[in-house]
Amino acid sequence: MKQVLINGLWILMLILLGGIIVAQSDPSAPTAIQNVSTMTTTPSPGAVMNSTGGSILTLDINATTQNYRWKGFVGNVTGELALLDSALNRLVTWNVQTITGELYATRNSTLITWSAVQCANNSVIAAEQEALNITTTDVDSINTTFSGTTHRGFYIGITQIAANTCRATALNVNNTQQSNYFQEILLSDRGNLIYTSLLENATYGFNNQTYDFQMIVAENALQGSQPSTPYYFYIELI
Amino acid sequence: MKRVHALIILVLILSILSIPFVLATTTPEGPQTLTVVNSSRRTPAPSSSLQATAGNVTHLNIAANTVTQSWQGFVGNITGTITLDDSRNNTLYDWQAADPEGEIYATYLQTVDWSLGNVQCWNWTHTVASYLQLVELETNPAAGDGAPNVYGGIGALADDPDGVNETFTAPGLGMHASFYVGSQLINGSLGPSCPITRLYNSTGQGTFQEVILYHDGTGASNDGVIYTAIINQSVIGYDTQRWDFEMIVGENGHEGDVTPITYYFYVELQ
Repeated sequence: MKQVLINGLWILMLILLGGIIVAQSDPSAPTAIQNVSTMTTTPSPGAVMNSTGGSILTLDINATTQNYRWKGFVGNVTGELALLDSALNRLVTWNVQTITGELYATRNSTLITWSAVQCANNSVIAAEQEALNITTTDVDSINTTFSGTTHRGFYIGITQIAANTCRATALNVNNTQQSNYFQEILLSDRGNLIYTSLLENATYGFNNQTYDFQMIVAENALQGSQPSTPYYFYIELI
Repeated sequence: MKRVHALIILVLILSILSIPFVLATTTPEGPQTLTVVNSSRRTPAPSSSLQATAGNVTHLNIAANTVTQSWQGFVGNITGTITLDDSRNNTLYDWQAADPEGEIYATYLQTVDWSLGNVQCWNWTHTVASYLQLVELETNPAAGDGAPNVYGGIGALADDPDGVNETFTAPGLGMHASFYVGSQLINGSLGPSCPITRLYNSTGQGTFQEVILYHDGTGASNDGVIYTAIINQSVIGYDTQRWDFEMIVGENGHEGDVTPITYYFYVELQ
């Protein structure tokens, strides 16, 4: 009877410990990222104009140019919740049917200090723009792109980010601007900018196909051939 | 646990770096719309009259203005969108540019390969037979030898006051703003600079830069010049109105030639 009681206490401690670990779960690197496709726009042919010498033509031109200072990621997430030990042995796992959580991307190569994550302030944004040679007054600077603060509230581990408190934008749905889905927020940990995409669950995205996330991240703004900027991805499923 | 994280992140880094970012830069492309607002040319002045009296010899000094027979002008404004699109032109995100920066290109070439190295300054001092020479663009000779039959020659004489080298500075001798054509740097410093002219504002000051680039294609019909206007942002133009660009392109109106040249317009916004 005494042995049964001791065993019961051990099981109870394990359950409690497991609960604590889950409650303090920080975002982690995804176990795999598959590049399904890389797409960009097809340049349009030149517009034709017949002209005769000696005259002056007044033209109104409207043009669309692909933005090389940003790159986009869209896709789907599959995952599971698990109780793991330090050797990644699984005590129990749950398949995630409905995707909820956040996808994070940062240029910082070291592990993010998740306990220090907060809304990115102006100095963090300015430093990121300087690092990527972005002029803050440009129409497509990070500062201008993330000029709004419309976003849902969420948690990073145990840190709460209240709704509508951080710099944010929302990516298109069916080629149309909107603010309800695919919200992207700027966070930081001790000075490093972190792009945060709130996960959707198989929601129609920019091209009317369903995605779990859409995200844009800034690229080096220098003209000419430049090496691509690597980003480090983390994900938190809840 | 940190070691496990590091391992996973390392795998992730390699995966991300292996993604082919084929378009680190953009390339010029045709505009969405190009609308002719109006077209005008100089109104001829009325004739001047003199009384002629038999037996007199009258010495005259005459000043006259005549419309050029070698150039066509374009002025206008540009609005643009800088976009993040996929290959089907679905838009993930876009940015409206009311006063965009960049360049407008006009060429008689039907196709242009904008990839690195193919479009550079037109160096008319480059005396290679297959390369378009100054005299070939000015005098409009027969096709061949770097001068395709639709190459946009202006039909002028070499000593015409409105010829090419009388309108644009020689390569390397005039400074202009540096810019990129796709990933190709066009250096505007003295020495490597392109032939350049500056079109007028309302007081005759040259405030709209235009340079001549050259597309070095694989055959004579793909070689030729690209007139390039560097976009200003709502600057007072030749007629006191504000324009984003002013540019001229060669057009042969000599000897009764009324056949228009077809120009293809491209835009690159930044």
